[in-house]
Amino acid sequence: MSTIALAAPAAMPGAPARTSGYLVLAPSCLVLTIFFALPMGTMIGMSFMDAQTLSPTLFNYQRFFSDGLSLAGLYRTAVMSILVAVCVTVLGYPVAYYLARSRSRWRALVFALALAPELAGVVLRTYGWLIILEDRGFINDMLTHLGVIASPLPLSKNLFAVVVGLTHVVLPFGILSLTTSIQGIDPNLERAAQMLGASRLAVVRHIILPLSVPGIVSSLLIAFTMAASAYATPALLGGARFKVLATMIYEQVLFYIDWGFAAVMAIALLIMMLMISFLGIRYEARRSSRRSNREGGAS
Amino acid sequence: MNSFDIELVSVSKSFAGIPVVQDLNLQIPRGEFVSILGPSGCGKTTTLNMIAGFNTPSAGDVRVRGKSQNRIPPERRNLGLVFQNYALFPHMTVIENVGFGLRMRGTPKAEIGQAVDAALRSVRLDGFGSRYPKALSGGQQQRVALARAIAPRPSVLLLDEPLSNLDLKLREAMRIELKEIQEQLDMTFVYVTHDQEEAMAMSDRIVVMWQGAIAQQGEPASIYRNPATRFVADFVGRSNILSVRRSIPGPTVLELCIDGTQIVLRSDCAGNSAVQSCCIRPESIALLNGSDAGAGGQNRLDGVVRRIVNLGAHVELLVEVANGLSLTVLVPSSRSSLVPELASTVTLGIDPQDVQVLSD
Ligand SMILES: Nc1ncnc2c1ncn2[C@@H]1O[C@H](COP(=O)(O)OP(=O)(O)OP(=O)(O)O)[C@@H](O)[C@H]1O
Ligand SMILES: [Mg+2]
Repeated sequence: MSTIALAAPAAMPGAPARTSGYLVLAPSCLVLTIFFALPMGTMIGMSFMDAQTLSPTLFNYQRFFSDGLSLAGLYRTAVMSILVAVCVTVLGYPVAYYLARSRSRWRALVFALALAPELAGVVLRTYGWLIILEDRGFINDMLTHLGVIASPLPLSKNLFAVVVGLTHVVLPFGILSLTTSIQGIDPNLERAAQMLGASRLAVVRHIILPLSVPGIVSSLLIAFTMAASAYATPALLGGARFKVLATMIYEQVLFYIDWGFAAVMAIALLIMMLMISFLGIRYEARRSSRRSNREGGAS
Repeated sequence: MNSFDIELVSVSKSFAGIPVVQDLNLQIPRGEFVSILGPSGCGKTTTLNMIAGFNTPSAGDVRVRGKSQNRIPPERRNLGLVFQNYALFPHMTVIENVGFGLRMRGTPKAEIGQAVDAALRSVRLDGFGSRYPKALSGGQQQRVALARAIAPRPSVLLLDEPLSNLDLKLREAMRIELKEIQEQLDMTFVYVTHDQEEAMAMSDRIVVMWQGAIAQQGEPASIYRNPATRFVADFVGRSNILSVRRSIPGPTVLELCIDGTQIVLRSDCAGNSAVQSCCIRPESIALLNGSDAGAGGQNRLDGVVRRIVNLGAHVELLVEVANGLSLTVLVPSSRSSLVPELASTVTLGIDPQDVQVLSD
């Protein structure tokens, strides 16, 4: 694509080059229109429609803000997604650092292990967690047998279980984005810092962490959006006791057949994710422009 | 207590069984500017990394100020290192970069400020303190890297080809500056380079490395004048290297029969009959006028000019003195009236003291 855009002006200067540049984008624009813009438009349209009469109404929005349950669902979704984003990034960082820097022969193995869960599929992995965390699951069984506890710990059907399950599902994506970012940091910077007397910890704190902020931000964003839009894991591990927007939307569509209200909840979810992404991207843009635009008083 | 800042004692290093540095013995006295000179891949960076602590020797011992550095991590060796690609911290201003070392040592803020100012002044970069590295030219970044390394006043500064990314003019200017800074701070400099001119220009001592071992070490002038081996003669400066068929030690001079020719050269060098090659620097060969007989004991060779190359300050002649044997001769351009025509016959004069015997 860029080759054409760059090469064309030399051959035939002026407008034709530009048109051919845009022409290349046409297929992807078409695909996006059909599979993204159209459903999106339909959904927004439905949110303003009464379920029975199909006449325009603001009722769905009123209900979302007044029934209490919906806002609580939004809040739970936000809390869950933030926790998952933080867990994924914190747990993924050391692995990513190892993957980015190690030259040991175990590296390939760790890399495979870090990404292998992705091959198992979401549902399978979530069932795995269910078996471990259930009231009559592995952990509770063992602790009861050992006599540590009398009644099962509340390990499933709650925020904890969902965050654990989602962290596991999303972790590989966080690791990938962090690894890429850390790989982009010149290893000589770490050596330079060491030569200047910085301990391993100081190197991480003063060099690696600040320079991998773009990776941290993107890991947080990816994990947040993946968690907020996840359905299977919250459905299985949260169940009816811990409902998030994704499971509530599903419920509206399948059990209540209220497409309009489901659309409003979907839009709320979408807006939340867009806002978070926007904040993250703006933060990153500000940070990098601060660094490159500032120029001191040269003599 | 000895006065060596750095000592390498029979140091060897191999990577996955492949020897890269072999049995290196090196002593670097306090306050000296020592260059490690060698072709690409000879193990210079590996050696420097062992001194810095990033590589552990496979065998032998690295000592800093008399103390073995075995198991001492780089951050506790109190050495400075300037990288080829500068490795400035992109998220810190020049001031923060230069102050980093002192900050890590827990120096009080006010002192850091003063030390940073002093370091920036010594590399002539005052006024650039609030810039980020991105907003500096390559030469300026180089100076910041130097300032950052010297600000904590390490006892020894290691430099790994620090000038190789600069253009020729700047490189030549920086050579002089580096030497001045080193003398001012009275710091030991270990300077790694593959540029023999650079090493010549700055060093108190040059260590020529080849294939992971020291080929020769000594003062720049003595290395240039008396290269010990074929490799050194070839790598340091330009030279005519001739294979010797037979050498006849005499009471005052050594007679060398040059391989494949009838030529016999006299040399002042002490030598035995096992000598296999000798070297003659192109600038030590004189063009003799027909009338000019030259000094008494001089070697005289007749030859035909086969090629003339103008190098600016010098004119380089390729003179065929025998079938299959040509000598390169350098004539200063200021004496261009002496330069003969192409294909003309000339007489070359070579002082016996300029015929250097090589051990190989
Ligand atoms: N980590 C490593 N693993 C395997 N081989 C290595 C490693 N580091 C260096 N080598 C090899 O050791 C040899 C010497 O490398 P070194 O970097 O010391 O060369 P150098 O003299 O600094 O060369 P240059 O002038 O090109 O920088 C090279 O052949 C290189 O391939
Ligand atoms: Mg090197």
